[in-house]
Amino acid sequence: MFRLTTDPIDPAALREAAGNPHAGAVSIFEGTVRNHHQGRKVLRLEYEAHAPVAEKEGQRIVRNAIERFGLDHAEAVHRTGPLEIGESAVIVAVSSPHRSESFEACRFIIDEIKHRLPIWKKEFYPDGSSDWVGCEGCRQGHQH
Amino acid sequence: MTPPLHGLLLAGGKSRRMGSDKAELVVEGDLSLRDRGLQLLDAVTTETRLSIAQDDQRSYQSSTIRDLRPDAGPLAGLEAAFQQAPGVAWLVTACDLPFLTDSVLQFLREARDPDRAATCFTSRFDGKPEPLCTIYEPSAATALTQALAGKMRCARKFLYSLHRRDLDLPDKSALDNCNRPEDLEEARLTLRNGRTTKTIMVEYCGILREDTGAATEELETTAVTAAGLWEELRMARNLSLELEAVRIAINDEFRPWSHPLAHRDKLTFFPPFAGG
Repeated sequence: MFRLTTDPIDPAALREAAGNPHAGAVSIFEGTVRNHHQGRKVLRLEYEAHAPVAEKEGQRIVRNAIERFGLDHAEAVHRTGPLEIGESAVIVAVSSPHRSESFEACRFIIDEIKHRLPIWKKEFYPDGSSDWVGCEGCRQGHQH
Repeated sequence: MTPPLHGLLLAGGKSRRMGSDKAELVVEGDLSLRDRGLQLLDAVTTETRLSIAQDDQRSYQSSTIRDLRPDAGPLAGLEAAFQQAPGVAWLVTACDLPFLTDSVLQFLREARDPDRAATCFTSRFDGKPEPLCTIYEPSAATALTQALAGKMRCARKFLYSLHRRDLDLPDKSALDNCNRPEDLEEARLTLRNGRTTKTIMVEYCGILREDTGAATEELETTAVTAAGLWEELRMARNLSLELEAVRIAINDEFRPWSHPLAHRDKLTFFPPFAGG
């Protein structure tokens, strides 16, 4: 399953839920907040999500991964709101009978989350400015 | 003496966003946008010319005026026209105006002020003068030469610089244009079904919410598709993204831009995603 949360994500709980007698592999991916982006120092982040669409689409991604890779279990959680450097923005936890499917499924889920979910990241910089990531290059070039 | 008025249909554009030559498109009936545009100009001017790009190798039935320089946009078309017929005023129209009618052009011709360099309409979106359905008097020719020499390529900026008569559009959607396949679909559906007013709940996310200063608004629109409503809002709300960068949901489901809007739909605009 997929969910959004404003609270810190507990990796231990996700690991616990992924464990399964049928599974020979558990893979966990944590996406964490780093202190730099494209050469700029980053102080903190804010994530915004469109919850109704992100949750629906997130469930589709996880269900899709379970079928595609024959997983025993898959779960993904994405943070929203303000985050500090080092915190987990997203955690994906999967289990499967063999390691190769679990690695691949983990990667598949995080890649799909990045491409398909209406979630936005705003970075805050030491000079007091901020920017929406991914929108820098697509501003209208031709203003009147 | 008032200079004679000739018509110039601009068909030298690259149609980059449309992906195919806009002048060839048929939006309604069986005339291409080119033939329709020429017919409209014929009705209100004494002579009509088709403005084509410098490197256009095609042959046309109508008389053409070839640009004198490459890639200089609409201003190059006007430059070539002034050069070919000095002392003539040009009613210049773009070929991608499927809602333009002969009555709008007649209104423009009747309101023409030959003592000013241009007579034009203001945009229904931002109230600024629209350069591509405008009468340019011969007195604009010198300013045009200077503007092009100064590397100006924006027809709007050139028009701003002229002494003008600005008019309100008698039909407010007459200059809605088509730059993308999505706009074309909007135009086709509108011409087929007519304009009806509907209430739409619009929701903005991320940078777009900051642009507008509000997460949601309820508004009345005659737009048929999501792309049509975006075009209405883009300038009115000063939205900082282009349509290509934005995705939409209608009633919380992803939809293509050409999706028709229904009364009381919720339309959400998504900036580029950046999760993970």
